[in-house]
Amino acid sequence: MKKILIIFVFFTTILNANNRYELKLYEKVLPFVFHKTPLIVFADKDANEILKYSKKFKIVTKCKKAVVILIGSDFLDIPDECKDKPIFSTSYRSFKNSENSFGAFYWRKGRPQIKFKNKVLEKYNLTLPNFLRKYAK
Amino acid sequence: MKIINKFLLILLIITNVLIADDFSIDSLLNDIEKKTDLSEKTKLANAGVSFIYTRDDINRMQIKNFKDILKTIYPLGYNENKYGLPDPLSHGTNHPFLSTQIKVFIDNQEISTGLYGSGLFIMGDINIQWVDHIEVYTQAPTYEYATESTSALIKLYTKSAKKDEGGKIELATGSYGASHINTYHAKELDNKWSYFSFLSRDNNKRKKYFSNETEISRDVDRKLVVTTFNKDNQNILFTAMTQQRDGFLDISIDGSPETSVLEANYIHLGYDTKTDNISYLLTYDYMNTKTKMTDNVTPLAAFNYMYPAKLNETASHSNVFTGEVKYKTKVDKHNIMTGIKYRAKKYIYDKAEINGKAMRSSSNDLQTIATVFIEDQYALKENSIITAGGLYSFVRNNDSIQDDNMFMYRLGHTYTTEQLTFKTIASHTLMTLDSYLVNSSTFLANPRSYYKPQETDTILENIIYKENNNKYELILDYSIVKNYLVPNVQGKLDYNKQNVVMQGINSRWTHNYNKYDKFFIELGYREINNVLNIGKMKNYLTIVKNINTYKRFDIFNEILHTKDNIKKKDFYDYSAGVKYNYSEDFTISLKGINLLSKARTTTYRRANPANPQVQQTPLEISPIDKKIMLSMEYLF
Repeated sequence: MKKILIIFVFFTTILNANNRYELKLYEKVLPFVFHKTPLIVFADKDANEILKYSKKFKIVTKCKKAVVILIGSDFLDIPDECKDKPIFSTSYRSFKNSENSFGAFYWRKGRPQIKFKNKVLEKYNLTLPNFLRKYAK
Repeated sequence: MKIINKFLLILLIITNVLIADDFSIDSLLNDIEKKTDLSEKTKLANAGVSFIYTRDDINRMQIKNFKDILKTIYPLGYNENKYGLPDPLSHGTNHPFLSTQIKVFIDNQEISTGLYGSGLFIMGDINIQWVDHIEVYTQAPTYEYATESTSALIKLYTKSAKKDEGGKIELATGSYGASHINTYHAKELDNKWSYFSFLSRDNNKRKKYFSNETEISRDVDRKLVVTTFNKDNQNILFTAMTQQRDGFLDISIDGSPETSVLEANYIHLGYDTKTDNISYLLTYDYMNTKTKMTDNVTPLAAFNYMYPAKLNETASHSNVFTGEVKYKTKVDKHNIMTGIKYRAKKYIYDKAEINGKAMRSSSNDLQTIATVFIEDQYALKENSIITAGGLYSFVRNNDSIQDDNMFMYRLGHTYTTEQLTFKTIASHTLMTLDSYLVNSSTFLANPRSYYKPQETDTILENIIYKENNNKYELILDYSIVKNYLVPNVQGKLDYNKQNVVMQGINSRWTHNYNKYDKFFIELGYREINNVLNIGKMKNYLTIVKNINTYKRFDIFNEILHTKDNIKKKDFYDYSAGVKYNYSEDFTISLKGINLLSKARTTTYRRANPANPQVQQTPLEISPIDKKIMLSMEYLF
């Protein structure tokens, strides 16, 4: 029990407030869309900084077949195995431009936003839980 | 016992489930918006004593002008000089600027001017609605930012496309016929570059005063552009502004000029970037100023018709080039930062005349500052860090004996636990003359003599304690200043005969009394000893702030109380505001500043033009006007 407390304190100290709230959001949303935990993800540098503290995500450094989802905005080289994987974008630009982006968390007009694209969700046979449906178009 | 334990466990699980059910995405998004801020990422923990204005503070307190920030900065406050220019360290003399130790940065780039050093001269009262958050470092901050003598360093972080993609337009009007319009647009481009661009026009009409039956004014008409381009670690900053100001008192002997105008144009262009270990910076600043004052006085033969001033005209332009390379590395328990910086300030007086006669005899027009610095943060333990830094600065003026080689250092220790932080900092800083002062017969008591750099030794202790919703802070400081420059009876700078000894104590308490609302109180006392003709100065400061949100309303109240042993008067600057968020995109705001009209005043001395020995009653004018502003903003 003590160990758990120490680890908790350690992580809450390291993970700053920005990332802590963002991580809560990812944990609340993505496992419910994919019905899996831990989710095997390939993340860009910024997303990696946030997700590495979670037990609900397993981050891999090389994009392989086992990867369920890509999270981020800027992926330098995506191997062929991952080119058709669904993307959860972390920028409006990536959400708008990427054909595989089914959802996104980004800031716009100074406010955090969460959005989903119904068409892309259908393409991957993904179903949103009730509490997320109002964010889809 | 086991049964009780089991019962407690079940109760805990049930409670957690209930809390989890109550947890919605909207409230989480609201938490992200209100409780996260970029300062968490940019603040340097071991940099010195710091104070942060978060984006949420700035929004809900409707902080729109830089002076709203400056007036609360310990231990300086906000002040204006005889030209109506922002100058917190002004002595009330004819010097155009004496606050060179307060440095202003936009993101990573210092805003500088060739004649006056600090960009506060040009920026101290500008619209800052392009700012995301603000960090204020006081008391000899780290060399990571400040490589010249610095008593306060203010970092204004621009909004960016990452958070503010989209646009905004705001219109405001208020007391004395003041009007403001500003707009910005931010966008992430497909090639990974992003931009943020802000434009504003401030017709800042201000309260008028009368001096010897002549109206005196500090109105400012300002156009401002702040644009940034960012890609990965590359940042380009472009800032430009023009200001047409009423020149307030200028150098009028009886504080009642017939006409007084000041015009200033300014451009900053800079680029900074970093790789894993090395960062580079290159900036260019340009400024030109023109002033003209006419006064209904007769110049006296006893002063060779140079005094008092019937006509004062100045025109100048200056350029500043700055280049910097910094290298950071981690070796075992050492975090080492070292770098070199070079700055060249070239300035030309196109005109400097009083009563038609040239005032300037010096041909000094170039000041260069080459600096090398190193700072090491050594981790004694994970929560105990020693900081040691040294800086060597070579200051050269091209036609003056005023050349200086200055060695400065700072030593610090930071100890943190989950709730407590102890920071101890000892520093030795040196400050040489600003460009415009070098060899100046107008502003120096001994223009041809070498002026020893002002030498400040400071030791301070900063204790921070956090517990649940409370944060307590205590700052104790003690400084000895050698070669302190003060105005003599002619208003020209000369050495203070004794070392000036300063000591201060400040305490702060921030209480978050519910999810988004907070109460803040600060109490401060400062003593300055051995000041020429004054002796001991005692200053008392109290700041009380309350920020809260009720339904669609953001409400704030702030009161600043100041008192000193010279004026022996209680000054109260009470500000309040309410912001109605009609929709996500449309907001109406009402804000009042100095509502009681009792804010601290500045003393401006006057004399009889026919007999300058005879003093008139000084003017007492507050740099903070009583003002009410109504504004509307629309996001698109």
